Amino acid sequence: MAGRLKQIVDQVKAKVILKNLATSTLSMKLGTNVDNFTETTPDDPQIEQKLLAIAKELLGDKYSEIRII
Amino acid sequence: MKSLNIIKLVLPGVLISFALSFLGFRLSALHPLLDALFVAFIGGIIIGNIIRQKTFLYMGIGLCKDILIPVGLFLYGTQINLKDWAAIKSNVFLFAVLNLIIYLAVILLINRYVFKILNNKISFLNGGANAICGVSATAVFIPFVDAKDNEVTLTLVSIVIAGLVSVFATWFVVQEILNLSMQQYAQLCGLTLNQTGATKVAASFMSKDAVKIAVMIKNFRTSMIIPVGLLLMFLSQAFGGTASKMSPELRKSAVYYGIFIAILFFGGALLFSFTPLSVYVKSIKPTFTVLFGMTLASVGLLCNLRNVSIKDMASNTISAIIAWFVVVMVTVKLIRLI
Repeated sequence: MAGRLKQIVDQVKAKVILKNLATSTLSMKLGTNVDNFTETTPDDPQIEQKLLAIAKELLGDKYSEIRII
Repeated sequence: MKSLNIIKLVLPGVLISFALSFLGFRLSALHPLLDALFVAFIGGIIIGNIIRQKTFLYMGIGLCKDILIPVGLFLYGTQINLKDWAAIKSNVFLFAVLNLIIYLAVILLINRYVFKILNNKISFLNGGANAICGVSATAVFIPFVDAKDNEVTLTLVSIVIAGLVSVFATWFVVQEILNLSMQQYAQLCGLTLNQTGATKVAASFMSKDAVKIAVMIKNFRTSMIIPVGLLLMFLSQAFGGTASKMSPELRKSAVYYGIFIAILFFGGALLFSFTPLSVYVKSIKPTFTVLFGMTLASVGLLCNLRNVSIKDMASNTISAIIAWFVVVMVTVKLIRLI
């Protein structure tokens, strides 16, 4: 399966005003450039957990709106 | 304490972008070919490719893009005098739109069917940026098409090389063969060259009047930046080939962003063209150059030449040069008719 990491990043971007700053924060904390995630990026439960934790910190209340298919 | 930490995280990227932009600004005084924005961007690529681990720059780069693209576009708008457009023949506006279509179509066809580049977003970015204002346009298009680092890098390399080739070929080859009048040559420069700096240099080979006319036309092309950004978003979603797609939520926010920056850009142009604020246009220019230069430097810092193949870089550049050639041929025919 693939594409879940991109979905998370896209949803974070859609929920904030300063999108580049948000993706930079995700990238910096994750240690990889999240802007390069695509639909074909393989799913990775470990990275996903880490990404969701950073997203939660970043989005606050809006985090509950994140839906991954 | 928290805000101090944020400043620490943001500072490296902001400072490097500022240093590169300021360097570009100072160097631009030496020769017209050393366009400040262009130098800032090239500096960004060089530094970005020397530094292997760029994580510490991410936050500053992100902030530069978020804040300075809207601010830079507002200031860019202030540099465009809408009153000047009255002096341009109406046909020239149509030629600019036609050239955009030619750039997009030729690059797409060559990339797809000759070089087998199946990611059409690269072709659309390349065509759109070459038709509008090169490097600056690419920076503005990124959020509209959700461009990835490798797609941006391929586009920017092509713009730089095609820009350099076309600026000299316009004077030393095209003008040498066709011997156009000053008016026609200025129109050709304004309608076909990708960077404003390139337009100024090519037109300056003819005369100061040619530079004035060429830049006026070039400014009209620049003003199409946001509608073209939205067009590229539609094209890359509908016909992107193997390119990564944007989620509906992200598309919606890109449209709002487009409307927001369009208001800033045209607001700046209207305010500084038709109100007494127009007296401040010249004094704003250095601020605009340094701030927008920082945006381009930050885009350059993220370009990773190691992540793109030399074959793709060469193919995309050849497509851009061929598209420029086709655009020149069509434009010459048209401007000789009017």
